[in-house]
This record gives sequence, structure tokens and C-alpha cells, in this order.
Amino acid sequence: MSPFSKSPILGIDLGTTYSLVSVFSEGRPVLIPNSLGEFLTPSAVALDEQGQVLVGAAARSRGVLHPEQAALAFKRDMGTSRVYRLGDRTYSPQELSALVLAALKRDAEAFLGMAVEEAVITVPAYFGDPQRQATRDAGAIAGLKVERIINEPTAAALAYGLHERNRELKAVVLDLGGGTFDVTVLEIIEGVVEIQSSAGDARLGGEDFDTLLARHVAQRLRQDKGFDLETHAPGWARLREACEAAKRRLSQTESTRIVLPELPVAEGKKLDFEFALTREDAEYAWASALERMRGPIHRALQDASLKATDIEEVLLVGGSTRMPCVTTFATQVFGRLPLRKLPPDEAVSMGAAVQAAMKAGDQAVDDLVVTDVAPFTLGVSTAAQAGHRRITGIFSPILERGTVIPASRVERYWTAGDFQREIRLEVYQGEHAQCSDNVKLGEYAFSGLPPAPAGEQSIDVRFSYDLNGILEVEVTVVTTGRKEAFVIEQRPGKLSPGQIEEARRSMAALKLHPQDALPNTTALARADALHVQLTGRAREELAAAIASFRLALQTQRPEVITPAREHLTGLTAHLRER
Amino acid sequence: MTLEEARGELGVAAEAEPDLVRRTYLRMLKTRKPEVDPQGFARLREAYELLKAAHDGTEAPRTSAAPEPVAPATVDAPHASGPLSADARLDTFRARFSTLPSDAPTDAPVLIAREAVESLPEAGEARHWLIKALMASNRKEEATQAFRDAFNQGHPEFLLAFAQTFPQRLTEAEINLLGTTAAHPFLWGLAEELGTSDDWDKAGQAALVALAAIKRHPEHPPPKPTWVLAFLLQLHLNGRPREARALQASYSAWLEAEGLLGAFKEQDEAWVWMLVQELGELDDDVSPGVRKLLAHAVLNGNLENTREQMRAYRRREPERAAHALEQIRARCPSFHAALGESLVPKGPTPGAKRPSPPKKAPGDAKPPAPGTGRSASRYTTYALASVGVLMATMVAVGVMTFGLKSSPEEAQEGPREGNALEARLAVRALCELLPDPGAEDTCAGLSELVDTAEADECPKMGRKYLKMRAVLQEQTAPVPANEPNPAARRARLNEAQYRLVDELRRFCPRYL
Repeated sequence: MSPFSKSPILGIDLGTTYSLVSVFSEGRPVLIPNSLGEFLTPSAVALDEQGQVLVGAAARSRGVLHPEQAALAFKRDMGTSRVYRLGDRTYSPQELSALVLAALKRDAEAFLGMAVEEAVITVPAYFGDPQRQATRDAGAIAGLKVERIINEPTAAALAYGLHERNRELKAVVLDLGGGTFDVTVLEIIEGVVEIQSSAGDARLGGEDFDTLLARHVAQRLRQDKGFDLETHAPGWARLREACEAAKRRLSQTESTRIVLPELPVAEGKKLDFEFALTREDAEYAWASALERMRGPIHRALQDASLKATDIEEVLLVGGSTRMPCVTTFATQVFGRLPLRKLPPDEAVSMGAAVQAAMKAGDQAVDDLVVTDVAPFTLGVSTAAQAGHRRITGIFSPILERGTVIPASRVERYWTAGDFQREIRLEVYQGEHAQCSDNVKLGEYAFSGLPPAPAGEQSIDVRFSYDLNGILEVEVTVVTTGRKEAFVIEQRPGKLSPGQIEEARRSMAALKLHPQDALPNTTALARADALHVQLTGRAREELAAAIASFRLALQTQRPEVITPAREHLTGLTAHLRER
Repeated sequence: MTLEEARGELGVAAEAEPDLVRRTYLRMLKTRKPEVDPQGFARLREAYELLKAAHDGTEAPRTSAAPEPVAPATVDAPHASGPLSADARLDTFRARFSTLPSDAPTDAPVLIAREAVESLPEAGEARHWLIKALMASNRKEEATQAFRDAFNQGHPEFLLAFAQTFPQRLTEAEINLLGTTAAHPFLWGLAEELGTSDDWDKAGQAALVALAAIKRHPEHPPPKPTWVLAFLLQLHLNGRPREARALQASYSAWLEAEGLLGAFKEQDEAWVWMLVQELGELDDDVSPGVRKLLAHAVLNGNLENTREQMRAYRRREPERAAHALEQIRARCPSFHAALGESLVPKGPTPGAKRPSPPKKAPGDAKPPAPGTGRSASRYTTYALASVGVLMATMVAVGVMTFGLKSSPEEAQEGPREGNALEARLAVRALCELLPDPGAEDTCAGLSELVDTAEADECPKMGRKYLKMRAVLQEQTAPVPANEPNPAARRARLNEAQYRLVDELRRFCPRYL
């Protein structure tokens, strides 16, 4: 493995359940393995027994047995003010994401043999301004300069378009990841990947399929034994984990069993629980989630002025598209079989690497052009007056969804009151006519208007939407020519540069679980998590392997530890599949 | 920016087509990337949006300059590969195949292939290995499943391969999906293949899907009308009237859309087309035996046999036969005329010009239908016979079955007397219709035919007839430029030809 001559830009897929990092090398994206030798790093943060911070697979497994000590799926809370409590301190979603990003940064540096400072990070197309800013902040906290934020389906389209740019066709990318569903309609024409439209559901992903299945099983448990698992966190966590594994198995076989010995069902009560599940049963439980996919697909097609039959290729991206019911659903909607040309988990990260290469000016992607669009409309709140009657809160769009970005749009507004000196600009994102139905991004008070009767003073409001999908607002008083530009303040969860710096320092001071101990810790954590789910012979076998590994650890000799660990991880993987 | 300036920015003329404008814009994007040349990009977008809005009749958006530029950094990137990349994993599997010992069990490659598919579900090559390995061990069921897994899990190209390998195992849903991936010549071939294995339900469906696919790829040659006709007849023959009707309707619509309907109607096939259409008019619940019989009649032109079988059927199942015949009378005028009055109870009063050949069943000796009914009958019979010639598979056979009374009953009919006068009159009538250049020679040839027939030199006459037939075809095929009614002209020619052949046959029944 020879190093780059100059530090490359990383392409990072920061997913709800898993994250991946890659770089562009010799004309193609290359995935970077983590310290466990795996491409997928779970987006999970937890505390170990000593209160040290764990990130990745170890954290995820720890969360199965100790859900109160782990944070998962925090991507959904990016851009909000929700905090997670782990141990004796709280963490914002940005900080948690930063911990994951820092781990990826470490892995990349170990793999490439050099320091890296810049990255391209992907976000769901439907991520709004607050969430994109939060992602950027997370990168900054982790010590990465975020060169670009790109949309996940655009990244997938890029990874795909890298090889297809000489064709001309209309395609749809269906990206069903761990937490979000994105639909993007694109056209490849004259060597340009032209994104036509994008829609999605920010709260629909593989996790929801797990939850639906778990609920289905929990309902049976309630009917049969009277325990409500949904209200008992430890039991629920185990059930969800088992359902996730069952979901995966059902992608390969028609029926499976969920076996949960000593499942905690209530305070101080445990139960041996077994449940047989067919693919048909599961698909019945998942029907509502599948139906939710229909809306965004139709919206995206409508925005692109295309019919389902106009689409020539349907691309599946995202681990959850492995489920046969998703393929069947897509075939039904588009009347053709969907395509999977790229590894579904890896496509987005690969696309991010392509974007990184484009940003760096790599020759191999010199002639590749991609144009993206704004996924939702941005505007301001206005008032209308007729005589004495006045209504406020009317949404006035300035930058429509579907506009090719980067773009800049201007609208003129007039004062509503006589001798009004101040204007309060409220910025909203959404499609509804009433501002109260849209998402408020923030407000800005602008004073110093020259006094004049109502309707005689006007301001030009310019919205500039950059390639990262981040909004900049510029207000100009028409009569005086005075301009003021600002980026929205008072956003929920938004951090100032000072706050970011503080977060960085505080993170650097965190006690992390020793990096070189990570493979051992992870192996143990995974084995422990599995041990609880097994019974009989298999459980005994695993227990023996765990015991001998712990003994090996005590010798502190790598030549003893490594084979013992390999035996344990192999056995764990093997027993997990059964 | 004004419209003028916008056009200048893009370098397009005022009357440029919107598609050209769009493509110009797209091409220019490559040199005006927003990260590299933000102002250039912004100007390009403004120009394009302006022109697009002008074309769409909408308002152009209010725009201006774009955000700050970012200087690009150049980097050279030497090789840095990961040992776990998808390509590398595929290579390791490939290596395992080549290291198999020669005495390895036959299912060893299958196991390796299955592992490869499981670990690399997006790799088409792994699926290909699995299918090949299974086919090599003749494990057809598993191979079928492997095909299905492949195209249902993101590799649609395997559907085509599946259709080529196991056409009979295709489900209806899969045939429909083929329409989206396969070129229509393949689909026509599939329809034919399915027909050969007697799966007419699916064959019909495949044909309909193929027809729909033509519209998407007009550059591939369409199927010959004669093939379509033969296929339609086979559908009727095998009891699939609904599919036949649907296919016929779609094909007509396609012909019309392509502007080919007119030309089609002038060919000889048009008569057969009409006959098939009539077949489609019969209710689906009409006895399949009757339908089959009628379809057979069209295919081999043997009317007498048809009539005979119809009579037999009427004896066996008088009610159903009557129902069928009633429908034929009401909806299938050509068949009605061809079958003759003897079979169909109600019809116009007879006024025969000549006696019809004596019938086998007693008491059924009614003269054939008069006037137009009769010429329609002859026309039909001629057309039915012509079809035999037109059908690629039945060229020589068609001519022969027309003359060769294959069924034993026919042979028992006594020889009819040849009437030289009538024959020469027929020649004269035909000569009058022939176009000028070359008419004399052809006329002479036709007279010779009669001479040979009179002289009882039947084999010689038979051969000469074939030659003359080809000559006539050639001479009468081109339509004169000033012809007002080509269809009528064709009808007249056909009638005259038929009349002559009818007379000649009286001399030599076995040779025509």
C-alpha cells in the first residue's frame, strides 16, 4: 500500500446505522477498512464498564445488553436540541456524530499512512438547513474540514454515473438506508448527470422495518403471555436486535425462528421466548412501511414531469433494499426489474469519494459533471392587507424546490405598516401556503429602514443556496442601497464557532477506550451480546470460547491473544448466522 | 439579461429547437463548473433558464451572481488498493475455481459459486458462475431458481438469458417484464418457440408484448405479415380466440399508425386477414372443433374436406353445429360463402351458373349461392388457396393441396368432363385484363395450357400451370398509376384466374 503524495479528501457516508469512508484512487473509489478490517462501522457510541467511550461495533453490541449506556440512530436528531445522556455527561447529536467521524478519520489515517484533514460528507437529500449545518459542525468538531456536503442519492448517482456517463437515459435511485428513504430522479444526457428532482421520508428506513417486526412479535407475546415488551427497555432492545437479524435471514430464506432465552419481560422477570416467522408474515407486518415509499416516489416523478413508465432504469441503493419485498414493490411501481450494479451499502460512500475527486480536480473525473437541485422550497413569511383586515403568516417562496443549485433568487417586499423602521424576516422551508405548516429556519431582525408610509419602502431579499445546500440571505434596502447579509441565527442546536471550538476541546479530553484494545473489546462485546440469545449446546460452546479468550487476554501476549480472538470472532459469526 | 444576450451566451440561433438548446447548455456545463467558474456557471444558468421559460411560456426567475469561488487543488494519486475490495473478493473466488482438483465432486463448483453469490450479491459474474455450474450438473430446477434469484435481486439482464434457456418456464409476469428489456425480434422468436411447444396462452401473450415493444424500437425490422397471419391462424387453431383477436387488433392499429394499412390491404394477404378477422368474430364459446376446422381450411385451402367434416359434425352434434353455423352465417360472410348453401340453412335463393361438384351426403344437392355470393365464394376459395402459396412453410404444399384431393372421399368422385369451350372463354376473359406490355405472350401461354389439358397431357399441364402462374403473378402485381380502384382490379383478376383454373381442373383433377 503506497501512500498518496498529498493528503486526499475523504468521502464519508455518515449513515443512521452504519458509516463508511473511502478515497478516490487510480480512477476509482476505494473503501477504507476500519481497525477490525470491516468497511461498515456502526454509527454507535457507548460507554464501557470503566466509563470510557466506545465507538463502532463494540458500542453497538454493548447497547444490546446495556441500552442506557449507548446512543444509536442519533442522525435523526441532528439539527435539533435533543441531547443524549451517557454516564455523567450529556452529548449533542453533533458531538456523537463527531465521535464517529473521528473514528473514521483515525482509520483512514492508519490505512493511508498520513494525516487527513478534509472530507466530503453525505446527508439525505431531504436534510434541511439545520441538519446540514449540524453535519458540518460535527465534521469541524472531529477535526475535519468539510469541503462539501452532498446528497446521498446524488452520491449514489455519481458512483453509478462514473461508469455510465456515455449513455443517455432516465433513471431513478431508490435509497433505503437504515433511517431514511430518498428517491431521486435523474437523467444522464450529454455526459452530464442531471438530477431532476428529489423527495423522501426522513423517518423511514431499515430501522422502521425492524421496529414493525418487533411490534408484531411483541403483540403476540402480549396476547400469549400478557407481557408488554414495548414498555420494558432491556427486553425491547434485545427483541429489536433479534428482529434485525431475523429480517436479514428472511432475505435469504422463506422462514426463520427468533430464539430469546431469558428475555427480560418485566422488572425482575425473565422468559424463554421462541417465535417462528415466515417471510410472508414479516411482509405483512412491513406492508405499511412499504406503502410509505409510494408517496415520495410519486412526488419525485411529478416534480420531474415524468411517469413511472418513462423511467428506463431503477437503481437500488442502501442496505435495506436487499429485502425481497422492496424489489417486488419497486418492480410493481415501475413495471421493470430494478438494478443493483453497486454494493448497496457502499455506493453512497463511493459516490462521496468521486465528489471528493471532482473537488480536488482529479483528471479521471475531469469530464464528469453533475447538477443537483434544491429539495424543498425556501421563502419568507409575509402579510396581506385589505382595508382594516390583515392576515399574517403567508408563505412567500423565494427559491423553489427543483431549482438547479447553486442558485440565487431575489424577491422584493414592501413594508406593511406606516413608518415601519424594522422588518423581522422569518425564513421558512416547505411547500405549504401557511408558514405555520412549514419548518421555520430562523428569523432576522433588520432595523434602520428610512421612515415612509406603508408600501413605499421596499427591500430586496436574496436567497443564495450553495452547493452544500446551505442558505445565505442578503437583504438590500432599495432606496438606500444598504445591504446586509447573514446566515440564519437562532437555529435549534446550532453551534457558534466558539461553541464548536469548545466541543472540540471537550471531546479531545474524553477518555476513549484504548484504540489498540478495540479489536479485543469488540470481539468480547459481540460474543457477549450473542451469548444472551443462545441456548443449549451452542451457548456452551460460545461460553467456552469467551472464557478461553479472557484467559488469553490475561497473559497479555499478542501471540496468544490473536489466535484466541480469531477463534472467538469466527465462532460468533458462525453461530449468529444460524 | 435579455433573450438576445441569452442566445448569445449559449451560441444558439433564434429558431433553435429546445432540445438543441438543452444539449448545448449541458455541453457547456463541462467548462463552466460552479466550483471552478461560479460567474460563468451563473451566467450559463441564467441564459438557459431564460430561454427555457420563453419556450415554456413561463416567467423567468430573478437571478444574479453566484457564491465565492474555491481554488482547486491538484493532486496526483498513486495506487492505493484495499485487499477487501469487491473486485479482489471476486478474484479470490475465481482462483478457487481454477485450483479445484480434477477429481473434485461435481457439486464442488456449485458450492463455490453459491458462496460467491452470497458474499457478493451485486456481482453479476458470480451469478453467472452459479448458473453455469448448475446447468453443467444438469440441475435444471436449481438453475431455474438461480436465474430467478438473479433477476429478482438486481440483475435484470438475467431475465433475457432465462428466456433463452428455459422459455417454457417463463411465467406471465416474467413475459410482461421481458417487454421492457428484450428487443422485439427476440420476443417474436419467443412467441414462435412457445407455440412450437404448444403453450399457446404464453405464445399469444409473448406476441402481444412483442408488438408493444416494436413501438419502442422501430429500428428493428418488424415481423412479416405472412408470419403474423400464420401465427394468428395457429392461435385460432389451438383454441385461443381471445389472444388472436387482441393480437390482430393491435397489429392493425400498429399498421395504421405506421401508415402501412393501405399498402397491406392491397396485397393478397388482405383477404386472409379478413378471414382471420371473421374467425375472431365468432364467440369464444363456439365449438373449438369448428374453429379449428375453419382455421385448417384457411391453412390448407381444402374446402371440400372442410365441408365434409362440417357435415359430419352436424350429424353428431346438431345443436352445437347449428349454433356455430348460425354465427358463421351472421358474422363470417366469406366463410359462409365458401362453405356453401348446403351447410347453412338460410341464405339467398340459388341461381347457379354451373352445377357445383356433387356432394357425398344424400339429399344435400343444393346449387351454390348466386351472383355476388358465388364470386365471393370463388374469391374466397382462391384466396384460401393463395394463402397456401403465401405461407412460407407451405409454398409447394399449398398449390398441391389445392388440387390434390387428399381425402379419400374426394378421390371417389367421378372425373368431371373438361369443357374446352368454357376453358377458352376463360382464357379470353383473363387475357383482356392483362396489362399491355407482354400481354400477348402471356395470353399465348395460357391458350397453350388449354391445349395441353385438352390433349390429356396432365403432368405437362401441371408444370406449365405453375410456370404461368408465376408469370401472371409478376405481370399483374404492379398497379398501374392511373388505376382508380386497385382493390376491384385485383378482385377481377383473381376471379378470372380462378375461373380458368376451375376449367382446367375439370380436365386434370389430380394435377391442379
